[in-house]
Amino acid sequence: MTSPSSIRSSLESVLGPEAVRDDPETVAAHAVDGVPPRAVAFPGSTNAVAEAVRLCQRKRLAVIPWGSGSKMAAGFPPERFDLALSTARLQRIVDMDTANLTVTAEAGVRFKTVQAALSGEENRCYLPLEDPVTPSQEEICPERENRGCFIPMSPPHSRTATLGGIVAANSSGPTRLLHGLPRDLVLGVRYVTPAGEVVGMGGKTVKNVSGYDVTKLMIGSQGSLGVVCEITLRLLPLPERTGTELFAFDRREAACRFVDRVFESPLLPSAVELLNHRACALLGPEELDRPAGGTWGVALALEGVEEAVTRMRETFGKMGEARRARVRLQLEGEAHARFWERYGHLEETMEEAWPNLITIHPVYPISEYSGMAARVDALDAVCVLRAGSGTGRIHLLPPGADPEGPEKLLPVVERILEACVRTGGGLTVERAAPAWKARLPLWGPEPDALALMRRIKDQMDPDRLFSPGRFVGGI
Amino acid sequence: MDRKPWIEQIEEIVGPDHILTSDMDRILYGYDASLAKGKADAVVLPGDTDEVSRVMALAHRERIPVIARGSGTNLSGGTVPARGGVVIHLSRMNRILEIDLPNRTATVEPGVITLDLQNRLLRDGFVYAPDPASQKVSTLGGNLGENSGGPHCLKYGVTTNHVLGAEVVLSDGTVMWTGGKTHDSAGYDLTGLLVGSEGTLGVVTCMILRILRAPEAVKTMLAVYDSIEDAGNTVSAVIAEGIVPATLEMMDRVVMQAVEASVQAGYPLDAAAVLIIELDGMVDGMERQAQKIQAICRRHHVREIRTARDDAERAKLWAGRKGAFGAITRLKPSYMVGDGTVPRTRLPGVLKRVLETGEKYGLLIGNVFHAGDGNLHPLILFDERVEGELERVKAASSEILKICAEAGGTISGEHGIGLEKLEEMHFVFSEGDLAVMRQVKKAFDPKGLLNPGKVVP
Amino acid sequence: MNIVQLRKLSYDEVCRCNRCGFCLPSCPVYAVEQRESASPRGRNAITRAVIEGRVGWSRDIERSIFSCLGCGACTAACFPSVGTRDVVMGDRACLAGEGLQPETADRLARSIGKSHNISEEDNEERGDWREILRDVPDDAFEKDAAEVVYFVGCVASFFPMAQKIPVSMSRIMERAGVDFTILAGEERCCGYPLIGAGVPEHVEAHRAHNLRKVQEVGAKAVVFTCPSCYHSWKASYDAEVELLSAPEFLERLIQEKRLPLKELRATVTYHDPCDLGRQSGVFEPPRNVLQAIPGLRLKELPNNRQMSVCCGGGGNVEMVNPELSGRVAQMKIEEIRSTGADMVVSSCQQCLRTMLTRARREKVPLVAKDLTELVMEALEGETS
Ligand SMILES: Cc1cc2nc3c(=O)[nH]c(=O)nc-3n(C[C@H](O)[C@H](O)[C@H](O)COP(=O)(O)OP(=O)(O)OC[C@H]3O[C@@H](n4cnc5c(N)ncnc54)[C@H](O)[C@@H]3O)c2cc1C
Repeated sequence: MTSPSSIRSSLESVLGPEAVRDDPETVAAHAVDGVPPRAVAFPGSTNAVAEAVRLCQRKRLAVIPWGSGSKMAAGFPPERFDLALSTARLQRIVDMDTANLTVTAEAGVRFKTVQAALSGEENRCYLPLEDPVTPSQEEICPERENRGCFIPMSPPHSRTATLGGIVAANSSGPTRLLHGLPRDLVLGVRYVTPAGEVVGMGGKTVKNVSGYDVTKLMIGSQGSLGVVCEITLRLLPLPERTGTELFAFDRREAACRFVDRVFESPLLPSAVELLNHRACALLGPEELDRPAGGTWGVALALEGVEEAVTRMRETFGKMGEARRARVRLQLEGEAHARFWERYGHLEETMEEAWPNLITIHPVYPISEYSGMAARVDALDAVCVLRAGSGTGRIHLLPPGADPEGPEKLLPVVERILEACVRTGGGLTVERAAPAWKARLPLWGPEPDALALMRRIKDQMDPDRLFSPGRFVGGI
Repeated sequence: MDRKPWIEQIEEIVGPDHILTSDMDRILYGYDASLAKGKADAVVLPGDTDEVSRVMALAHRERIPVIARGSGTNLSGGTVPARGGVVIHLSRMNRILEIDLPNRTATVEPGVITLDLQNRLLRDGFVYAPDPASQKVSTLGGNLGENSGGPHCLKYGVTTNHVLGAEVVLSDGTVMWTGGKTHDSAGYDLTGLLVGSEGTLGVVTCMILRILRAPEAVKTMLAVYDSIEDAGNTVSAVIAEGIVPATLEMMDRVVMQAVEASVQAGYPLDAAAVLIIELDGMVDGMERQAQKIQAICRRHHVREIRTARDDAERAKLWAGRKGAFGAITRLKPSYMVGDGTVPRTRLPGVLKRVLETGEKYGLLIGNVFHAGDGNLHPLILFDERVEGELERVKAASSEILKICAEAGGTISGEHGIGLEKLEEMHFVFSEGDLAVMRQVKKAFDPKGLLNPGKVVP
Repeated sequence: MNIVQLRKLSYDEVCRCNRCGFCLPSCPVYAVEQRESASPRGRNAITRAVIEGRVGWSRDIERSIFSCLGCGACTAACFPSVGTRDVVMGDRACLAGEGLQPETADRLARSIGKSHNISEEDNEERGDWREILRDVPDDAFEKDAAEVVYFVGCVASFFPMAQKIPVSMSRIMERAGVDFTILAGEERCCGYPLIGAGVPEHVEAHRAHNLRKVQEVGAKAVVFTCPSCYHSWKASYDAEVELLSAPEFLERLIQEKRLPLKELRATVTYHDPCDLGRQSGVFEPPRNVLQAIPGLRLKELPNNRQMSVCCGGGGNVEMVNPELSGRVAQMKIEEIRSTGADMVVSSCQQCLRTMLTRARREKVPLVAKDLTELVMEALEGETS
């Protein structure tokens, strides 16, 4: 067995001393399910990541890639954990090609950082197009209003989440309804294989069928197949107009019927979220959950051209009225942005009061959302359901003082799982105290193709060095 | 041919009517829409998943290659039995099993013709977004095999963005499901790997597709240009304006001439290029968007802009575009189509070099492409029967792919690698990259029996 | 025909097939058989392979080539317009040259050679359909000289199921006061089935005979109720007289107000016979005739005009492979039924026969009428 100091020194020899830490504080901060690594590496480039991985390969060290840590609570406790491989120093935005609507950045870049950079970036293009650096700089689109672009994702924990983490965890948010999942938006990745080889898959073009779509395999692979180091994403021009419509209904049925109407219409909101009363209360504005309890809220995100957003506001307003919405709030500009940011950080707002909360990501066919809503109605939970996407988040709140509290939640999770499975879906547990994990169906029902998944793992990481035991079926 | 014993065993599985072994049939399943040719040992027409599974288990025992085939319209040699073997023609598995409007899914067998599903869905006001120009003949299984795209993929994404789940038979006959009716599923995204794997990882026997509500409004415009650069620049300028239309298709004069001779789509024969620009979605603001686009076109010296007045006119504009490949043999008996894809701002420059390459090799090249996606389809025209021409065409084609790769693009946007672009894989992938792909292949098909000799060199 | 001749005839043509497959969904035989050998692309490929010496003629090839309905839907769908139908006919000639034609095709060719018609009956019986018209003499409609020759065709002359057509047509022409004659025993097979049977070289004698007869009568026009005869004359007879299909002729008579039509309350759909529509370009006249009947509503088939799907009766397939022909007919019947129309109208005895035979066999209710029959019913003062 390699001792901690020898791990550090051998890593230092390839990465340099500034890139390796094994002080108690750093190590503790990178613990996974309470298991601390023996050292943490902070390589500053993709090649340095490869060096580090090759060293781990030689020494048979178990590695867990680490972004901002916002999603490390998912998965089984690691079987072994020697090195946390942090992407914190992979901070370059490599290529902002807004004229082609793509961005390439290193894995450690925070989502928020790229998004901010892109929103200010002029997506102007010049002639001759094939050579953007020529001095002639004849603009081919001089009159356009400069609005910038954005990555059409709305991941949770967006303040801290890194691109690498979002991709590795296949993280998505409310606007997936309109824009899709990471698998629809990631065009390419460069990553370091468990063997320590730097490989590139996909590219900068939206269409690409050259070879196997290994990018898809890496998305959502939860650090089990290598370290994602560089990501190319598809962008969209910032919409002309955005906004939010918030409704609150006294009865769940009314809220669901309203949502049904929204989906029956030809209108295209970018998110349709159903919020239980606790979620309403946490998110405010205050009037949303008043009188407290029983309320179901519906939050609609809107984006598009001026005329379309105006029509959606009007039509949804009328639909809400017809279903006797008690509250209707219209958010715009800053208020709109703030609302959805808070929305993506719901879990953080609960952490202090309920450190042992269990977060579930239910999965069900999209029409089953009303059944799901009925099921969570009786639970003590903060719940948001992604109506048109067949998912959502259920934060189960353990009774605070009761040390047996969390235990009481285990059967609740089982029941939710059963309900999802009955519809042909499943769930994943995104967060639970390590102590309870062994008794929770962390990845839902066993996938039909588990054997094949194992074979993939065996091929790509035969020594099981990457996040060993953490993924589906203990992969 | 001496009758191999396994042929009888297959006969027992699928019935004597559904296995073909004559010399004629073996030749007939030796081609697709590419220039590659091979010869099958036998052809099986299974009726259900179980038959596919049993045939594949048998092939596995006997170590016989298996090649899945839809309508054989792929353009890369994807269904050519490069090393003999059994071709599984899925034409009989052509049932639409379920249309689930509340959950926005369609469950189909792989042999369903793409357009048949589309027409069925339109009755309910829904669409399946991927619309390859070959949709009237291609199968959904083939679309999955190639990860096909189409004009509307600019806005809606390609096949992979619309496949939720698949029932797949692995090389040893094991049947399993990947994905399902839900949009998320735990574990590796095997569905994502299967799409575009050209039948080398498994044979898909059932698929669950995502369907969308048909757009409320559609507006189709034909912009006519006297210079191909102007057309290309318009494409970039439209996107830079913050507009992502449903389609941005381009055709040059050579192609228009062949097309007009086939269907009278009304393309101007003296123009250098046309763009087909379509907007769809909510009706609100569409007119304003269209005017913005027209203003951009004018800034780029458009000669004329026509707007389709009704569905019939729109259909006509599209009929021409969809027949472009086929029509081209009015000019010369053979063509080789490229599928290189580049970041769209590089299109005008790359296009120029494509034409120069044509001149260098003394070959006529017509161009039709999904301009919005930067996906080129240079059609190199020639006569296969003339000695030496094919070699010249292959060299030119390879050179064009090199140009695309160097421009930051890739060698195939939607037609696949198959047999025809194997060598060119090295333009975009390192040995290490390819090694990973080989690992994928090994995990699915350890004996290498599925469509051998394709995709990964 | 031999391979050298075939190469000259078809090689360039099949080489323009780029295997795009756009013909597959429009080929009724492929729709039924679902295999490449049953597709136009496949038939082109076979021809090419034979010409290039990659495969020899065989029974398998014979089956593929003789299962083509000759309906031409493939060419209509083909962007470079590869003429697969002609390619197939060339192949058949070659196969016959090798003695590889199907038994039935051979029998047909020999019978036409002997009796000058497709039915093996004595050609003198060609005019026997007149017996249905009880009030006319045996030699009715036979004249030494007339303005118009009505070329009845073999099927309508000999097959009882189709004899209503000449009966109606002759009545209509009488009512309109047309100066016409039939050739009766002097009419001979137009030669079309001989091409389908692989012996195009036998056509010439028939052609010469028929042309001479028309000349003898001094006619200015020949009228056909059989689209195949019509097409055959148009395509290869070099006749110096006007050639008119029944729908065109009826349309003209109606325009000239020579046919008083009464109301018929019905919804009908119209099936375009391949040889009349796609091959000869006659699409609108039959529709105009239908529209001229007061009270009649026309509901088009989903696939109409250029896209019309063959009834299954073309290309001699009905004789060579009745089972296949029947399955194609079944598809046609289903398409017809999908319109909800009261009946299907066509302008071809062969189409009607194929569809009705299948409908009877499968016990599906189907009303199918020839355009002439319907016009006859609509004629004022006629009781049908
Ligand atoms: C005129 C013309 C226009 C075209 N336009 C386009 C276009 O716009 N966009 C585009 O993307 N392509 C286009 N193509 C290419 C081609 O039509 C597509 O690749 C199409 O998806 C192939 O479908 P198919 O049914 O013919 O598949 P096939 O050619 O039979 O098979 C394609 C591949 O998929 C595999 N496969 C087939 N079925 C299965 C299955 N059930 N399970 C696993 N693997 C399977 C095969 O092994 C093969 O590798 C065009 C082709 C032509 C001739």
